[in-house]
Amino acid sequence: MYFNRTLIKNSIKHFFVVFILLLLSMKVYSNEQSSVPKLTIKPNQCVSLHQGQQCVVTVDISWQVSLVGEYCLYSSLQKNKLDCWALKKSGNFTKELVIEEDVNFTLKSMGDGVENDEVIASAVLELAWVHKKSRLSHSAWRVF
Amino acid sequence: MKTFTKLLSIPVLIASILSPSALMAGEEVKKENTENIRDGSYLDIGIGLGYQSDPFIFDNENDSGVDIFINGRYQKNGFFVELPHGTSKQQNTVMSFGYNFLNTAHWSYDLRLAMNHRDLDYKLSKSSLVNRRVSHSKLGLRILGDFDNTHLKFIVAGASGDPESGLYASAWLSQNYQYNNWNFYSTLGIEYRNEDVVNYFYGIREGEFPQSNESDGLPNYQGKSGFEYTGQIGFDYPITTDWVFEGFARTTLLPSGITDSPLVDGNSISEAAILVKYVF
Repeated sequence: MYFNRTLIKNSIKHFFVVFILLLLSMKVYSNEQSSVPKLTIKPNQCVSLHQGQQCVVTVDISWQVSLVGEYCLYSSLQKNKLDCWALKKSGNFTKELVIEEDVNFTLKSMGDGVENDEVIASAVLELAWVHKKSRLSHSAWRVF
Repeated sequence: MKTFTKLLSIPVLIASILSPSALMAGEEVKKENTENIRDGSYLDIGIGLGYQSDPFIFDNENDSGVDIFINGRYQKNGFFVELPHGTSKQQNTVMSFGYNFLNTAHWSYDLRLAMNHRDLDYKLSKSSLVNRRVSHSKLGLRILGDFDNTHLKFIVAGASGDPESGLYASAWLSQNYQYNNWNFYSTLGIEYRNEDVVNYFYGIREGEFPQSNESDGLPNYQGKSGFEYTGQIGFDYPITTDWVFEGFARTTLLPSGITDSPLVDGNSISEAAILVKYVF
């Protein structure tokens, strides 16, 4: 009777330990899933004074993936790739940009130097402004 | 009154020369719907450090130091109220009211009730006598021109005057430039005030500042009409979508009709400020 009670108690204890470990492993796995691959841009917004103006920004782009390979960075500003990395699973890129609309950055993997269509990670550089454009500019308040 | 009508027609004439098709054909006049295209609201509030040289020797107002800058406007169905206490030269009025009666592709026409000179308080150093020259709101016509980076402003209006209502007229040209995200501008302005206005603010009537044991008194002075010239440069830098860093420097050259007054000991007013403002 005593043996049975101890056995049940130990079984419950083992079950809880296994259950908690399982939960923890799932959490770690899910974290890994959400953090990699990732593409980060800083800053993620370029602010001009008036809507419609060009905006100048120096962006720092960093990327990270789980597997070592050949990867290239693209932007919606140009057809050609911005930069490529071989035998890497992370990288950085800095560039001064002049933008007139939101810019989409994408990271793509390369197979034997050939671009795969699959987008591994993406991020958007948003164009924002202080004064909204209007036909008779209300932001020209200085001259009022 | 004749002069007033004549001067009133000058900006209209200039506007019609600059935009003949819009005015003559009236094709760009916003009549498609009942909504006035300038209806809406705007407000920014800033805090900064300001400097102002004051050539009005007996005026105690000191505008140097920490200052609050407020620029607000609300318009509905063409009727507007403005609170122009930003960095523009048009800060003589506490508040102005008006009616925006016509908008074309590049021009906007307002009837406006506003002060066209700031209040002045003269207090002689050794005397307790305070002589206050209150500026009153008067009706006028304002025309605003907007051509991308070029802005124009014309005003013809009444002003406080002695012996009668005075006359005020001004023309302004502002040009904007952009370098990276910095926005620079330069503004040139010319303002006219007739003899009545100059007398009201800078004239001295007989016995107005009498000689006494405490004070030497001031001689009589009769002013004359003249033109003021203003040059301003400045910048705006957007810090975020709501915050703007702003700065300006401005100099106004006063006419001899004002500088000859015993109440004035300089021939120019210089102002400058740097501030951060929040745009609502």
